[in-house]
Amino acid sequence: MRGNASGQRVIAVIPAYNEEATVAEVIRSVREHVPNVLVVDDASCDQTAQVAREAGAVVVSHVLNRGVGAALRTGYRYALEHGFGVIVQIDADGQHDPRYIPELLQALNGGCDVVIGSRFLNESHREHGWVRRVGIRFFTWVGNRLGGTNLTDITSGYRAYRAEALKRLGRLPDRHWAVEQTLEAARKGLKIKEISVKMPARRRGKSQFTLSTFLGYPLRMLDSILRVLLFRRS
Amino acid sequence: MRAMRLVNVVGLAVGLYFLVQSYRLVRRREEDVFSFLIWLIVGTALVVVSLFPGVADYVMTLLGMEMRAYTIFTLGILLAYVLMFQLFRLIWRLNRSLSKLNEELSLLKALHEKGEAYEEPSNEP
Repeated sequence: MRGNASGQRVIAVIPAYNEEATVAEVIRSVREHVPNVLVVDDASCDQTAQVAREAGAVVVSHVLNRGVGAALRTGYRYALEHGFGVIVQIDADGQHDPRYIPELLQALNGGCDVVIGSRFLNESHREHGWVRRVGIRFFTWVGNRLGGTNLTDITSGYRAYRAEALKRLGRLPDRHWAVEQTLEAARKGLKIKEISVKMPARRRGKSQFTLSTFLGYPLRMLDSILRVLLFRRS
Repeated sequence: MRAMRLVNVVGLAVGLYFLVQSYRLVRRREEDVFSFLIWLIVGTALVVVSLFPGVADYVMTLLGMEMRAYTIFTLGILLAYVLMFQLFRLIWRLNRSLSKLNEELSLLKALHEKGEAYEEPSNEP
Protein backbone atom coordinates (compact mmCIF):
# COMPACT_ATOMS: atom_id res chain seq x y z
CA MET A 1 0.00 0.00 0.00
CA ARG A 2 1.66 3.24 -1.09
CA GLY A 3 -1.03 5.60 0.05
CA ASN A 4 -4.44 5.43 1.62
CA ALA A 5 -7.72 5.35 -0.27
CA SER A 6 -7.67 9.11 -0.83
CA GLY A 7 -4.28 8.80 -2.54
CA GLN A 8 -2.30 10.47 0.20
CA ARG A 9 1.08 9.08 1.13
CA VAL A 10 1.19 7.40 4.52
CA ILE A 11 4.06 7.14 6.98
CA ALA A 12 4.22 5.27 10.27
CA VAL A 13 6.09 7.08 13.02
CA ILE A 14 7.43 4.88 15.81
CA PRO A 15 8.99 6.64 18.84
CA ALA A 16 11.40 4.26 20.53
CA TYR A 17 13.54 4.22 23.63
CA ASN A 18 15.47 1.07 24.55
CA GLU A 19 13.15 -1.19 22.55
CA GLU A 20 15.67 -3.44 20.79
CA ALA A 21 13.73 -6.51 21.92
CA THR A 22 10.51 -5.55 20.18
CA VAL A 23 11.10 -2.88 17.57
CA ALA A 24 12.08 -5.15 14.66
CA GLU A 25 8.92 -7.22 14.94
CA VAL A 26 6.80 -4.07 15.15
CA ILE A 27 8.47 -2.61 12.05
CA ARG A 28 7.97 -5.79 10.04
CA SER A 29 4.29 -5.95 10.99
CA VAL A 30 3.75 -2.25 10.29
CA ARG A 31 5.34 -2.55 6.85
CA GLU A 32 2.68 -5.05 5.87
CA HIS A 33 0.28 -2.11 5.94
CA VAL A 34 2.44 1.02 5.57
CA PRO A 35 5.65 0.85 3.51
CA ASN A 36 7.19 4.01 4.89
CA VAL A 37 8.28 3.53 8.45
CA LEU A 38 10.19 6.08 10.50
CA VAL A 39 11.65 5.16 13.86
CA VAL A 40 12.64 8.08 16.07
CA ASP A 41 15.18 6.66 18.48
CA ASP A 42 15.14 8.85 21.58
CA ALA A 43 18.84 8.35 22.41
CA SER A 44 18.47 4.71 23.41
CA CYS A 45 21.27 3.06 25.36
CA ASP A 46 20.76 -0.24 23.55
CA GLN A 47 20.81 -1.24 19.87
CA THR A 48 17.31 0.06 19.03
CA ALA A 49 18.50 2.25 16.13
CA GLN A 50 20.64 -0.47 14.59
CA VAL A 51 17.92 -3.11 14.91
CA ALA A 52 15.32 -0.74 13.42
CA ARG A 53 17.58 0.07 10.45
CA GLU A 54 18.15 -3.61 9.79
CA ALA A 55 14.40 -4.19 9.90
CA GLY A 56 14.00 -1.69 7.07
CA ALA A 57 12.94 1.52 8.79
CA VAL A 58 14.33 4.99 8.27
CA VAL A 59 15.86 5.94 11.61
CA VAL A 60 16.29 9.39 13.07
CA SER A 61 18.34 9.25 16.27
CA HIS A 62 18.05 11.88 18.95
CA VAL A 63 21.31 13.02 20.45
CA LEU A 64 19.70 13.47 23.86
CA ASN A 65 16.88 11.59 25.53
CA ARG A 66 13.99 14.06 25.72
CA GLY A 67 10.87 11.92 26.03
CA VAL A 68 8.14 10.48 23.83
CA GLY A 69 6.64 13.87 23.03
CA ALA A 70 9.96 15.12 21.70
CA ALA A 71 10.39 11.96 19.61
CA LEU A 72 6.92 12.40 18.16
CA ARG A 73 7.62 16.04 17.37
CA THR A 74 10.69 14.99 15.39
CA GLY A 75 8.63 12.32 13.66
CA TYR A 76 5.82 14.72 12.75
CA ARG A 77 8.30 17.22 11.42
CA TYR A 78 9.98 14.60 9.27
CA ALA A 79 6.61 13.47 7.94
CA LEU A 80 5.40 16.98 7.15
CA GLU A 81 8.66 18.06 5.55
CA HIS A 82 8.62 14.96 3.36
CA GLY A 83 5.08 15.68 2.21
CA PHE A 84 3.24 12.77 3.79
CA GLY A 85 -0.50 13.31 3.97
CA VAL A 86 -1.27 10.78 6.68
CA ILE A 87 0.72 9.91 9.78
CA VAL A 88 0.16 6.71 11.74
CA GLN A 89 1.69 6.67 15.19
CA ILE A 90 2.43 3.41 16.93
CA ASP A 91 4.50 2.35 19.95
CA ALA A 92 7.67 0.31 19.59
CA ASP A 93 6.98 -1.96 22.55
CA GLY A 94 4.60 -4.26 20.70
CA GLN A 95 1.50 -3.29 22.66
CA HIS A 96 -0.10 -1.76 19.59
CA ASP A 97 -1.04 -4.41 17.07
CA PRO A 98 -0.35 -3.11 13.52
CA ARG A 99 -3.26 -5.14 12.12
CA TYR A 100 -5.52 -2.25 13.19
CA ILE A 101 -3.76 0.21 10.87
CA PRO A 102 -6.21 -0.32 7.96
CA GLU A 103 -9.07 0.48 10.34
CA LEU A 104 -7.35 3.66 11.51
CA LEU A 105 -6.80 4.72 7.89
CA GLN A 106 -10.37 3.83 6.98
CA ALA A 107 -11.65 6.09 9.75
CA LEU A 108 -9.46 8.93 8.46
CA ASN A 109 -10.84 8.39 4.98
CA GLY A 110 -14.28 8.67 6.50
CA GLY A 111 -13.59 12.34 7.21
CA CYS A 112 -11.87 12.27 10.60
CA ASP A 113 -8.83 14.38 11.41
CA VAL A 114 -7.51 12.26 14.27
CA VAL A 115 -8.25 8.60 14.99
CA ILE A 116 -7.34 7.06 18.34
CA GLY A 117 -7.06 3.36 19.11
CA SER A 118 -8.88 2.72 22.38
CA ARG A 119 -8.33 -0.22 24.73
CA PHE A 120 -11.49 0.74 26.62
CA LEU A 121 -13.77 -0.17 23.74
CA ASN A 122 -12.89 -3.81 24.36
CA GLU A 123 -11.86 -5.93 27.33
CA SER A 124 -8.08 -5.62 26.87
CA HIS A 125 -7.84 -2.71 29.32
CA ARG A 126 -8.48 -5.21 32.11
CA GLU A 127 -4.95 -6.54 31.63
CA HIS A 128 -3.52 -3.27 32.93
CA GLY A 129 -3.25 -2.48 36.64
CA TRP A 130 -6.30 -0.92 38.27
CA VAL A 131 -4.42 2.21 39.34
CA ARG A 132 -3.45 2.89 35.76
CA ARG A 133 -6.97 2.18 34.53
CA VAL A 134 -8.49 4.52 37.09
CA GLY A 135 -5.94 7.20 36.15
CA ILE A 136 -6.68 6.90 32.44
CA ARG A 137 -10.42 6.96 33.05
CA PHE A 138 -10.12 10.02 35.27
CA PHE A 139 -8.01 12.03 32.83
CA THR A 140 -10.21 10.94 29.95
CA TRP A 141 -13.23 12.18 31.90
CA VAL A 142 -11.51 15.53 32.55
CA GLY A 143 -10.52 15.76 28.88
CA ASN A 144 -14.06 14.99 27.76
CA ARG A 145 -15.52 17.61 30.09
CA LEU A 146 -13.12 20.30 28.94
CA GLY A 147 -12.96 19.36 25.28
CA GLY A 148 -16.60 18.44 24.75
CA THR A 149 -15.64 15.00 23.46
CA ASN A 150 -16.87 11.53 24.23
CA LEU A 151 -13.61 9.57 24.23
CA THR A 152 -12.68 6.51 26.27
CA ASP A 153 -8.87 6.43 26.08
CA ILE A 154 -7.33 9.88 25.90
CA THR A 155 -3.84 8.64 26.78
CA SER A 156 -3.56 6.10 23.97
CA GLY A 157 -0.53 6.60 21.74
CA TYR A 158 -1.91 4.49 18.89
CA ARG A 159 -3.21 7.17 16.54
CA ALA A 160 -3.54 8.32 12.96
CA TYR A 161 -3.65 11.92 11.79
CA ARG A 162 -4.21 13.91 8.70
CA ALA A 163 -1.13 16.06 8.06
CA GLU A 164 -3.36 19.12 7.80
CA ALA A 165 -4.73 18.43 11.27
CA LEU A 166 -1.25 18.05 12.76
CA LYS A 167 -0.24 21.39 11.27
CA ARG A 168 -3.02 23.05 13.25
CA LEU A 169 -1.80 21.68 16.55
CA GLY A 170 0.80 23.42 18.69
CA ARG A 171 4.18 22.18 19.75
CA LEU A 172 4.00 18.95 21.76
CA PRO A 173 5.61 18.92 25.20
CA ASP A 174 8.60 16.58 25.60
CA ARG A 175 6.70 14.24 27.90
CA HIS A 176 3.05 13.48 28.65
CA TRP A 177 1.83 14.75 25.34
CA ALA A 178 -1.37 12.74 24.81
CA VAL A 179 -3.87 14.62 26.97
CA GLU A 180 -2.59 18.00 25.83
CA GLN A 181 -2.72 17.08 22.16
CA THR A 182 -6.17 15.53 22.34
CA LEU A 183 -7.62 18.39 24.34
CA GLU A 184 -6.14 20.94 21.96
CA ALA A 185 -7.44 19.04 18.93
CA ALA A 186 -10.92 18.93 20.46
CA ARG A 187 -10.92 22.61 21.32
CA LYS A 188 -9.78 23.50 17.83
CA GLY A 189 -12.74 21.64 16.41
CA LEU A 190 -10.85 18.75 14.82
CA LYS A 191 -12.90 15.64 14.24
CA ILE A 192 -11.68 12.91 16.57
CA LYS A 193 -12.83 9.31 16.44
CA GLU A 194 -11.92 6.20 18.40
CA ILE A 195 -11.76 2.65 17.17
CA SER A 196 -11.53 -0.45 19.31
CA VAL A 197 -7.95 -1.73 19.59
CA LYS A 198 -6.85 -4.58 21.82
CA MET A 199 -3.81 -3.53 23.83
CA PRO A 200 -2.58 -6.28 26.09
CA ALA A 201 -0.07 -5.39 28.82
CA ARG A 202 3.48 -5.69 27.49
CA ARG A 203 5.16 -9.05 27.90
CA ARG A 204 8.60 -8.32 26.45
CA GLY A 205 11.09 -5.53 27.01
CA LYS A 206 11.13 -3.12 29.93
CA SER A 207 8.14 -0.89 30.70
CA GLN A 208 8.76 2.87 30.67
CA PHE A 209 6.00 3.27 33.29
CA THR A 210 8.07 3.65 36.48
CA LEU A 211 7.19 4.74 40.02
CA SER A 212 8.41 8.29 39.37
CA THR A 213 6.27 8.42 36.21
CA PHE A 214 3.31 7.28 38.27
CA LEU A 215 3.86 9.78 41.08
CA GLY A 216 4.46 12.71 38.75
CA TYR A 217 1.56 11.87 36.46
CA PRO A 218 -1.22 13.90 38.14
CA LEU A 219 0.91 17.04 38.29
CA ARG A 220 1.94 16.74 34.66
CA MET A 221 -1.63 16.12 33.58
CA LEU A 222 -2.72 19.22 35.46
CA ASP A 223 0.07 21.15 33.76
CA SER A 224 -1.05 19.88 30.32
CA ILE A 225 -4.69 20.72 30.93
CA LEU A 226 -3.96 24.22 32.23
CA ARG A 227 -1.62 24.91 29.34
CA VAL A 228 -4.30 24.09 26.79
CA LEU A 229 -7.01 25.99 28.64
CA LEU A 230 -4.91 29.10 29.14
CA PHE A 231 -2.68 29.32 26.12
CA ARG A 232 -4.09 27.26 23.28
CA ARG A 233 -7.33 28.75 22.25
CA SER A 234 -9.24 27.76 19.17
CA MET B 1 29.93 60.06 58.96
CA ARG B 2 30.80 58.11 62.11
CA ALA B 3 33.57 55.49 62.19
CA MET B 4 32.36 52.46 60.20
CA ARG B 5 31.56 49.21 61.95
CA LEU B 6 32.76 45.89 60.57
CA VAL B 7 29.34 45.05 59.12
CA ASN B 8 29.36 48.34 57.20
CA VAL B 9 32.82 47.65 55.83
CA VAL B 10 31.75 44.17 54.69
CA GLY B 11 28.55 45.60 53.15
CA LEU B 12 30.55 48.24 51.32
CA ALA B 13 33.04 45.65 50.01
CA VAL B 14 30.28 43.30 48.80
CA GLY B 15 28.36 46.18 47.20
CA LEU B 16 31.45 47.39 45.36
CA TYR B 17 32.24 43.82 44.30
CA PHE B 18 28.71 43.43 42.78
CA LEU B 19 29.06 46.71 40.91
CA VAL B 20 32.51 46.00 39.51
CA GLN B 21 31.82 42.37 38.57
CA SER B 22 28.51 43.24 36.97
CA TYR B 23 30.08 45.98 34.91
CA ARG B 24 32.88 43.66 33.81
CA LEU B 25 30.43 40.90 32.82
CA VAL B 26 28.30 43.27 30.75
CA ARG B 27 31.40 44.70 29.14
CA ARG B 28 32.51 41.18 28.18
CA ARG B 29 28.90 40.56 26.95
CA GLU B 30 28.52 37.66 29.39
CA GLU B 31 25.57 39.15 31.27
CA ASP B 32 22.38 40.71 29.96
CA VAL B 33 21.28 44.24 30.83
CA PHE B 34 18.43 43.02 33.07
CA SER B 35 20.85 41.11 35.30
CA PHE B 36 23.18 44.08 35.31
CA LEU B 37 20.36 46.36 36.47
CA ILE B 38 19.50 44.02 39.36
CA TRP B 39 23.09 43.86 40.57
CA LEU B 40 23.49 47.58 40.01
CA ILE B 41 20.53 48.25 42.31
CA VAL B 42 21.67 45.70 44.93
CA GLY B 43 25.28 46.91 44.81
CA THR B 44 24.32 50.57 45.03
CA ALA B 45 21.91 49.88 47.89
CA LEU B 46 24.62 48.04 49.84
CA VAL B 47 27.15 50.80 49.27
CA VAL B 48 24.70 53.54 50.27
CA VAL B 49 23.47 51.70 53.38
CA SER B 50 27.04 50.89 54.43
CA LEU B 51 28.20 54.47 54.04
CA PHE B 52 25.05 56.06 55.43
CA PRO B 53 23.38 53.68 57.96
CA GLY B 54 20.68 56.31 58.58
CA VAL B 55 19.26 55.50 55.13
CA ALA B 56 18.38 52.00 56.39
CA ASP B 57 16.39 53.55 59.25
CA TYR B 58 14.56 55.80 56.79
CA VAL B 59 13.66 52.81 54.55
CA MET B 60 12.60 50.89 57.67
CA THR B 61 10.16 53.64 58.65
CA LEU B 62 8.97 53.90 55.05
CA LEU B 63 8.18 50.16 54.90
CA GLY B 64 6.57 50.19 58.33
CA MET B 65 9.12 47.76 59.81
CA GLU B 66 9.98 47.70 63.48
CA MET B 67 13.54 46.53 63.23
CA ARG B 68 16.34 47.10 60.77
CA ALA B 69 16.86 43.34 60.55
CA TYR B 70 13.27 42.86 59.31
CA THR B 71 13.89 45.40 56.55
CA ILE B 72 17.03 43.64 55.43
CA PHE B 73 15.35 40.21 55.47
CA THR B 74 12.27 41.47 53.62
CA LEU B 75 14.31 43.15 50.92
CA GLY B 76 16.55 40.09 50.69
CA ILE B 77 13.58 37.77 50.22
CA LEU B 78 12.08 40.04 47.57
CA LEU B 79 15.38 40.07 45.73
CA ALA B 80 15.59 36.27 46.00
CA TYR B 81 12.12 36.01 44.38
CA VAL B 82 13.18 38.25 41.51
CA LEU B 83 16.33 36.19 40.97
CA MET B 84 14.41 32.92 41.25
CA PHE B 85 11.92 34.07 38.63
CA GLN B 86 14.71 35.15 36.34
CA LEU B 87 16.53 31.82 36.73
CA PHE B 88 13.30 29.89 36.20
CA ARG B 89 12.68 31.81 32.99
CA LEU B 90 16.24 31.15 31.86
CA ILE B 91 16.04 27.41 32.60
CA TRP B 92 12.72 27.15 30.76
CA ARG B 93 14.18 28.88 27.71
CA LEU B 94 17.33 26.75 27.78
CA ASN B 95 15.28 23.57 28.12
CA ARG B 96 13.17 24.52 25.13
CA SER B 97 16.23 25.45 23.08
CA LEU B 98 17.87 22.16 23.99
CA SER B 99 14.84 20.26 22.80
CA LYS B 100 14.74 22.15 19.54
CA LEU B 101 18.45 21.70 19.00
CA ASN B 102 18.10 17.98 19.65
CA GLU B 103 15.34 17.78 17.05
CA GLU B 104 17.27 19.79 14.43
CA LEU B 105 20.48 17.87 15.00
CA SER B 106 18.85 14.45 14.79
CA LEU B 107 17.12 15.32 11.50
CA LEU B 108 20.29 16.79 10.02
CA LYS B 109 22.28 13.77 11.16
CA ALA B 110 19.77 11.45 9.52
CA LEU B 111 20.05 13.38 6.26
CA HIS B 112 23.82 13.38 6.46
CA GLU B 113 23.91 9.63 7.08
CA LYS B 114 21.70 9.02 4.08
CA GLY B 115 23.66 11.58 2.05
CA GLU B 116 20.54 13.16 0.63
CA ALA B 117 18.63 16.40 0.65
CA TYR B 118 14.99 16.27 1.77
CA GLU B 119 13.63 13.45 -0.34
CA GLU B 120 11.09 10.73 0.13
CA PRO B 121 12.53 7.87 2.16
CA SER B 122 13.05 4.80 -0.01
CA ASN B 123 12.27 2.00 2.38
CA GLU B 124 9.37 0.42 0.54
CA PRO B 125 9.59 -3.37 0.51
